[in-house]
Amino acid sequence: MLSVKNVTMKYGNHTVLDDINIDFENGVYGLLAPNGAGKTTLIKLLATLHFASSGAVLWNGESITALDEKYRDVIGYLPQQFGFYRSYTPTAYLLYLSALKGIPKPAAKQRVDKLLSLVALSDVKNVKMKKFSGGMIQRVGIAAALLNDPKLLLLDEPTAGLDPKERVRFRNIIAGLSKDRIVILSTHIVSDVESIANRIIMLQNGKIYCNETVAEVCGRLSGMVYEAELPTAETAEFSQKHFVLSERFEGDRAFLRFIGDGSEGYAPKNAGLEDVFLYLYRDAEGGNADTL
Amino acid sequence: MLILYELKKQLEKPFVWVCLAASVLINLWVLVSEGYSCMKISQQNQAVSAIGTTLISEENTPLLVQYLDEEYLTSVMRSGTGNPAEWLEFDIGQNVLLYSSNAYESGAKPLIMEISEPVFAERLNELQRNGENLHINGGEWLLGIVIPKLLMSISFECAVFAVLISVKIGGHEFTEKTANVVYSTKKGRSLGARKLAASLIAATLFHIVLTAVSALLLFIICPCGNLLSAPAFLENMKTGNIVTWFSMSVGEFILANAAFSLLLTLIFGAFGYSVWGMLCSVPAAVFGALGISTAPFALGFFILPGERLWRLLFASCPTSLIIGRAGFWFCESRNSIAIPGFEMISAVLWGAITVAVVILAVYRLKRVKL
Ligand SMILES: Nc1ncnc2c1ncn2[C@@H]1O[C@H](COP(=O)(O)OP(=O)(O)O)[C@@H](O)[C@H]1O
Ligand SMILES: [Mg+2]
Repeated sequence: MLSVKNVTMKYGNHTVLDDINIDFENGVYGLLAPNGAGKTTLIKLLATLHFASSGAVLWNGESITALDEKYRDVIGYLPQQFGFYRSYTPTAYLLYLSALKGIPKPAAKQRVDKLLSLVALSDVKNVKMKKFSGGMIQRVGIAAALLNDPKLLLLDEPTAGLDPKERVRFRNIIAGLSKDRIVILSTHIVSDVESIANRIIMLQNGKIYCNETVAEVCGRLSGMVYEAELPTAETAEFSQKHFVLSERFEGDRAFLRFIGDGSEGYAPKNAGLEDVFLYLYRDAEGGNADTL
Repeated sequence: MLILYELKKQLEKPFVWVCLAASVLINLWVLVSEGYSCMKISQQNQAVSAIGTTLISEENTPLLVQYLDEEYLTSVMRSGTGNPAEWLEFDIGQNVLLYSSNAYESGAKPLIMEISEPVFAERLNELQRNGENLHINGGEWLLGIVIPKLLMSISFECAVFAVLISVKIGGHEFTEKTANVVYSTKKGRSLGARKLAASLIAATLFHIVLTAVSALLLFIICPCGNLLSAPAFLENMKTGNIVTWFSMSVGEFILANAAFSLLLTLIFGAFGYSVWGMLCSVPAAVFGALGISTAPFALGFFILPGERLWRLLFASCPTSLIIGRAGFWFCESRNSIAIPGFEMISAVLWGAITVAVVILAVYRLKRVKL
């Protein structure tokens, strides 16, 4: 359906995406990488807000730049940072966006009402948005992305600013939407995608590091993750010798997840997505990382 | 439908109303200052022109006044001398040479003025009968006339530059950071024609308000004729048509003002829409942003004669810039969103253009009559 073919994206001399190829089928794709790795750049490219330095993006085999309006008609985009007309109510704002998306007014009104209740904003639908909190604006943005029932939903850090309850609610919305469309959800927060993404795409040095199911990604660390139980006092010394993924303290006992080879007799553990993320991007600054 | 949304978006910005207020004020300033001197002259029934009054009445700043024809002028210029005793009858339509005694001695270029008012001619004849020679001291000429005039002229540029910058900042999708959202929708990239139409409607509304307020206030403050007979530019009466190509009444000025800014915006907006919007190239986008926003302004600078016509241009600037905002949109919505620092580049280019224009204005003022 959507294929990214040999796309390179440069800002001046700085190559952010380096000759990447991805094919997207219906389902939820979690685009997981640290800040600065190029998630927003990739999503903006898919939203036609950036133009690739080289390569092409194809929708059902046709270039998205050639499709122009026809392509933008099938996408829904939630930018990482976006503005809104402060003096508008969410209803007026969404109606305007419906007009921009070419939805006839009567249908738009119904759709706006439905979406506002989906994102739990029905009771403030006639309040000016300048009074909204960050999380509320984010939810308006999610509703806006869904207005045209998009076949390709691009969500750039959609859970930023949402509280835990809203996050769960959002995850349920996305899970319910994923059947007959492509959802691409970028995040640097593992738990956002762990449970709902069909596939995880990780970027590394401008390349696709992996495009796999969660289980496959976790399999990359199988037999490498161990947990040690130590007195709290010994954690510093242990950390120097091993690559520690995470620490947990209970009373004066510390539980350390680390990368090992099993020779020290510690209990092996199942690797989680977070372990892979922490290990892959252990030296990451601006998206650089070592290969496993 | 979308056009109504665009119109609403335009009119909702406080910035737009600030622009309207600026327009009203500049227009009022032009009209009232002209109308005020018009009233004073008609009341005192003593049509000594402003420049004549300044130069002639100050006895300690004598001025050399001499009638000259073209030929004589060139001979004076060549030799650096002239015979100030050659007084002739002064008549309407004649050229008068005004220069400081310093300038006279050094052979510097004098100022030429055409006598267009009977009273001024009479006053000069009177001076001649009394055998008076008027001299103006070079320093005072500079401090009293040239520098204030220059400063005034530069302050126009500064005001316009401030308007340009704020218009840029006031660009809707730019300030609201809504570009991402709007441009990724189906019709988001083809809004140009609607934005342009909405802009023209808004500008027309503004011009109606502007005209009504200006006309009303002018005739309350200065009851010196009616809309169609009161002269908009008194200097045209004193010194010939140096302000505009032809004399204009207040009514004609207001109409010209409105027509001028609408026309220019229509031309440049439509041109920008059809050409720059389609050419997806970076230089074209930069050129478009510059062209649409500065062309009406620059055009006036290079084509239209007369120092005071700037006022007409400047007075129409804020409103034409409101409509010119459609232009920024073309550039934002196309490739330029992919140019890092696009906003900075255009601000810097505008700055450069303004500096160039200031230099030109100074140069012009030095060369042309005061
Ligand atoms: N407009 C731009 N100009 C220059 N560099 C940019 C621009 N946008 C992003 N970058 C750079 O590209 C890299 C990737 O940025 P981005 O795609 O925003 O990453 P992410 O969304 O994964 O945090 C960063 O190093 C960032 O500094
Ligand atoms: Mg980002």
